[in-house]
Amino acid sequence: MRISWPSLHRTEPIATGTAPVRRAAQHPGVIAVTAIALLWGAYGQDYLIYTVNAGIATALAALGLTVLVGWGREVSLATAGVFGSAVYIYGYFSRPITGKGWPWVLVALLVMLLAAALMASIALISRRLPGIYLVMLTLGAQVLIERTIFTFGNYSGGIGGADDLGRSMENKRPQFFGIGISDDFHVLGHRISADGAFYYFSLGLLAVALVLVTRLRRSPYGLAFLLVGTDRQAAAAIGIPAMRLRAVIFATCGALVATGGILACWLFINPPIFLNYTAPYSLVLLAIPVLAGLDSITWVILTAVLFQVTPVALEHYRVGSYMIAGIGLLAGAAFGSRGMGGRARDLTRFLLYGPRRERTNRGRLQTGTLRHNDGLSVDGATQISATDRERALAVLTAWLPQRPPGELALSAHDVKVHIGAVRALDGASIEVPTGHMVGLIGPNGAGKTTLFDVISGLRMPNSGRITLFGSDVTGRQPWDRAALGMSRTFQFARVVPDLTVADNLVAGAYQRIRRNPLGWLAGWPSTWARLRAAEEAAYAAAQLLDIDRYWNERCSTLEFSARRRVEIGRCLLSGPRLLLMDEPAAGLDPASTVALFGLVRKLHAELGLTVLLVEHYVKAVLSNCDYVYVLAEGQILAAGTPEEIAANPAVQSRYLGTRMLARGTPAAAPAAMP
Amino acid sequence: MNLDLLPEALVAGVALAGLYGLLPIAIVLSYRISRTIAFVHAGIAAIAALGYWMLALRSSLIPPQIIYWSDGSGLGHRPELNPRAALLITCAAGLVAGGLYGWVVMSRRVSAASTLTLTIVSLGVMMVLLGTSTVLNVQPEVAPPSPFGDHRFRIGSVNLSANKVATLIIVIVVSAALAVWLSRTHTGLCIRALADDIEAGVWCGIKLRLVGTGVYALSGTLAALAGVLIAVDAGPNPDDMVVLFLRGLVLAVVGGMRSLPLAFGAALLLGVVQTALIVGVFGEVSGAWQELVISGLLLAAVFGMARLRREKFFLLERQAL
Repeated sequence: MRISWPSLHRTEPIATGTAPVRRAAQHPGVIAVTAIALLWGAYGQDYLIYTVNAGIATALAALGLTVLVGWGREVSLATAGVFGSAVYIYGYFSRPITGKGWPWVLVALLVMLLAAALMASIALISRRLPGIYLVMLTLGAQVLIERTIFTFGNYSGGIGGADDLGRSMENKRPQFFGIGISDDFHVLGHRISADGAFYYFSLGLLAVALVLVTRLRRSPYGLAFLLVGTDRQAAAAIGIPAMRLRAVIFATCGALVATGGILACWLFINPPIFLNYTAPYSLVLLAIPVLAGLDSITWVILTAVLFQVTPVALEHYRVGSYMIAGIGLLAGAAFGSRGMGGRARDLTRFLLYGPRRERTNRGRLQTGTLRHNDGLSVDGATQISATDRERALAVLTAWLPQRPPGELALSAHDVKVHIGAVRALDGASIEVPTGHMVGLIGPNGAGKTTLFDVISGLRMPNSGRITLFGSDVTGRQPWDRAALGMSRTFQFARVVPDLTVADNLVAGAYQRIRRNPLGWLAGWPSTWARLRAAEEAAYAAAQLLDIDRYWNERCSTLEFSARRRVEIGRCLLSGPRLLLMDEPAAGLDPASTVALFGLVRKLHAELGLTVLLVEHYVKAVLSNCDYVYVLAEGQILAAGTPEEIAANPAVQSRYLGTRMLARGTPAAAPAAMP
Repeated sequence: MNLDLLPEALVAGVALAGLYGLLPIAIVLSYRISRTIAFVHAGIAAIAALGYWMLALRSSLIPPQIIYWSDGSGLGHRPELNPRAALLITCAAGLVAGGLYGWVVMSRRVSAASTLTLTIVSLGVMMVLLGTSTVLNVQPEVAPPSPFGDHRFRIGSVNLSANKVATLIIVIVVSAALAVWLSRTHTGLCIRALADDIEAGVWCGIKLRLVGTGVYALSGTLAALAGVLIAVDAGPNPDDMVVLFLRGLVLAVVGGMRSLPLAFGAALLLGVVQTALIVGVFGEVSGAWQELVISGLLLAAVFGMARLRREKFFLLERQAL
């Protein structure tokens, strides 16, 4: 008998991201695993405990790679170098005789900062380079680190393991308030070895790292990392400083990898020779998050320990770490981006609740999702009750920031963009008054999307001036423009497919709720209350857009219209005054197009949004917009009310054709049918 | 700076370029059909080097077993073949391995996967191949005999081995022939078409799997050949092979991942600079500093290429691996 699958519709929509650690700690599985891990330190075999200790050091490095590869969707072949340099540099500065003898806390912080700075500088150097160049750059950094370590024997001991004078390079494990982790100790008469003591210390450090990484992942920063990793332009368009956060992603990875290195330094006592940290070992580390799943923190730790224990267990057959990593990479490619962790969760759900398709359909039937193709009526009204709608509207209105009134929301003056010999924009000028819905139409290749890119800051113009709510923003970055109250959608819905609808929406709230990162990491209630408020606003937006029924579903499982509405919802969460929509109806069927335009019209009226939209469905634009611009060959061909545009002979000859007039005025057209 | 040594550095550097030049050809060839970096060639080159060592080495000092377990027991016996026969067998194995890999990754289903997934598969196969080297009874510091004999050629004050001269000739002939083949023949057009859009290429009637398998088989053969020639010169160390592959990848990137002559030009430059550093044209430079200078030079070359192609990098745009 199968357990009945809980409804996909959340009766309690909040707490998607709040208090992740507390909720995880209450899970029976987590309690059981913690108990086993604690007991094993006392009763496990010494050599295995030592191996697992090495696995925990690797796990810390792999957590760093999870942030980099899994969340940031970046790659680094310098990880082994950073790990190794942490081992040697920590050793050199903390060793009393052959090093500097500095306090271990100070040295540990210094090493983490150095690693973070190195990785951040790699991010800055490679900010405009495609992936292959990043591979080259990180590889170059790896070789430079290897050679530097090899050259300076006082740090690493070269290939001999001793300094230039032949003195041993032994490191001492640190002491905490006089209590060491280098000696055996007794608990209730049971002896625990020095490695056992170190195991508990490592476990504690790993637990701290696990809590911090989990909090980071659930915080707006974690969601922003994922969005930056998936789509930098989409992130920038809703106010996330993509390039700055990219550097933070690299720095976080560096700090975590260095923490692993420091732990390894304490574990090994005598540092291993640098050959253990050459470029191929970076691939071994890379294989861990790939196999575990790019967003699976727990499985990354298990896989890292597995990678360390397996070669020891198969020592007789001389199965090395390269072989394990190779198999891991191949299995990771077969499992997909959710990796072993995702597949394990799928298997558990399959065993408990049956096949996924059946579950999803059953869930959707329960919530009425299958009743209509997209849940929207032709006029854009959603299926929620009037009371719920009013409540959702009130929540969302309260969420949107109060903005000072102004007459002109946007002005683009004499914008020119030259791409090689092509004049994509040749002196185009438009103005969007506050509180209006303005359309921009024109034939393919007219420069509409280029103008949108210039307005939103994704492309710098050769000349011209962009003013947003009275401020000149011509040279400013997209996220600075978003901070002034501008947000945009793209031709094809650019959501994070691996995230749920809830997470996608909350990611849009980044610039409204970001605060001191330490507040998120420390779990300050006032800071996390901001996330709770964002979740409430996100659920209200989901209700208004009629996607609340998909609240817990991954966006990759949604149909196109729903994804489009998720993207609009994400923009709403960023608190816009001006919403730019690039071909919102692209790829939608006629009914969904009509419904979407009705929805946009309602949002425009109820939330007081100013809207500028580019669209090819001319009738929909002429029926819904207050004012329309026509762009052709990079220049504004005409501007005016929909009636004036429809009657303009130049627009008819260049774009509309003459059949429209014969059918009557477009505003009188029954609906905006394409 | 000792300019008297420059002619010697030039001659030896050009010869060294031959060793650097073969792997970029294999990389560019496979990149042009799949738009992915075939890291698998590093694995094929490493295994080919070890295989050739196993087949051709004659030594009474090294135990003859092919596979060694950790308890000292082993399996097999080195056949001690003629080096040329060993070369042929190794290249044939490279052809089969490359072809097999191409047959798998150029199937309709797998080739539709993302570039990142295909790159991970390629890295995975490379690591598995490198991983098998740990069970082989090889002593990497012992170089195998050359298939081109022990002759030495004297050019000025430089003594060049027959292996180096043969390698250089092979690289020049292969890169010229492939450059013509890719740009002037119908098959070359099919390869370029598939590289741009696999789906469209298939709808135009190009036999994806056949062409893909053929290209990978050819590039696998070249990788195996490169592995053997490098092993003769520097020993069959798998880790060194990976480093050389990565260096070859940089050269291929300098060639824009499409131009074989440009990649070979970069290999020539690298060979000459490295030799100049070694023989002392710039004074006495330690081995570590040589590596640092070469790494810096390669990075500068890559970034120079990136700047030359800067118009392709749209602000904030995400570029695939």
